[in-house]
Amino acid sequence: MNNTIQTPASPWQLKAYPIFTILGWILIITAFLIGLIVLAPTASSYWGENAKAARDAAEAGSALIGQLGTLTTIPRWLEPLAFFGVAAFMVGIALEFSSIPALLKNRGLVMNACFPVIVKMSKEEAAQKSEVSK
Amino acid sequence: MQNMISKMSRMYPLFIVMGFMIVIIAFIVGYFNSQAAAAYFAESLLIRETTLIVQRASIESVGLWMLPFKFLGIGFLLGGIVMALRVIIENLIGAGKEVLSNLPPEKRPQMPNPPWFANLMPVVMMLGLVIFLVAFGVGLWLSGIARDVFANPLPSIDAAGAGSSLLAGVQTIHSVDGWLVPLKFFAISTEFLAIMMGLATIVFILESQIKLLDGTLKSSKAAS
Repeated sequence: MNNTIQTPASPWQLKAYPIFTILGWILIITAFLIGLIVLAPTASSYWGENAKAARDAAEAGSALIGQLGTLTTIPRWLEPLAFFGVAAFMVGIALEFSSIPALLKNRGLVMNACFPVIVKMSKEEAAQKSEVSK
Repeated sequence: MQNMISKMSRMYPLFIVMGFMIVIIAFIVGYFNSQAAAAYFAESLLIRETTLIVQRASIESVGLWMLPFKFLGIGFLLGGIVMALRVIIENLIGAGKEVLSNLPPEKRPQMPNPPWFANLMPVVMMLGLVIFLVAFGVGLWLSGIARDVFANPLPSIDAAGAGSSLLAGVQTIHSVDGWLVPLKFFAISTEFLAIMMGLATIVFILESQIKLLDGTLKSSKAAS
């Protein structure tokens, strides 16, 4: 039975997954802040301070048209951005998962080498105990 | 505290079933809402604006609580996954201790303490669920506002001036929607963070066990 092994190297995925986690957090928090700081006040101002007649009568270059532009364009990229953040998280999770088989393989190798030693040690301990009891 | 979390973690199938049930209920309600919308838009504008106003209010309000409700279901599912990871972590630690218990006490290496994020994992999971519940509560509140607003004919809503309660309702629906959608994604990422913490703990335990066994092997070689 082989009891000489080299300490296995950590899988590369363990170095890469924190990058995706941080990227995911940055994107999701950015999306949330844009929703909270840009979209919500703009929607509040556009829908709450103007009757439909005023909104419909707004001309190109007016503040109302500018708000309408913000309200129609930002959500079109904000949701994909949030999904991008979720996807970054999922890539991180996938990388973590993919490192587990390599770790289990390493663990199997070490256990394979270690078990004869553990059995030997426990036999020695049992023999010592029986000698003491005699 | 940790014992209570351990006991709760074993209830993970319940969370997964609850999450799945919520998503199925959302699908069924969504299907019936779509049928109501089909029946509503099959009528002329005159009928829609006179006799079918209640139906429109219902269609609009259901649409507002439905999305956070579906996300709540996803939240329970992700929470169930986090709890299952916790069970795996405990079993891995238990198996490691069992293997090492075969060594004589003086040669038995000390198991390392779990990393700081292992204890934080259930807290982050619960935080994510709370955010999902808050989003659902806000969705229910918005649906109530929508029910009131859309109980009026469209010309009345369109004619509502600044400062009127109708326009305030429209304002609330649109402005809250601006942050509610990203908030749900924030809740999902919080649950994902808990999953990542769980997986990182599993990785830590596996690596620690490899190092411990490797150390035991090397020390026994050095002794012999």
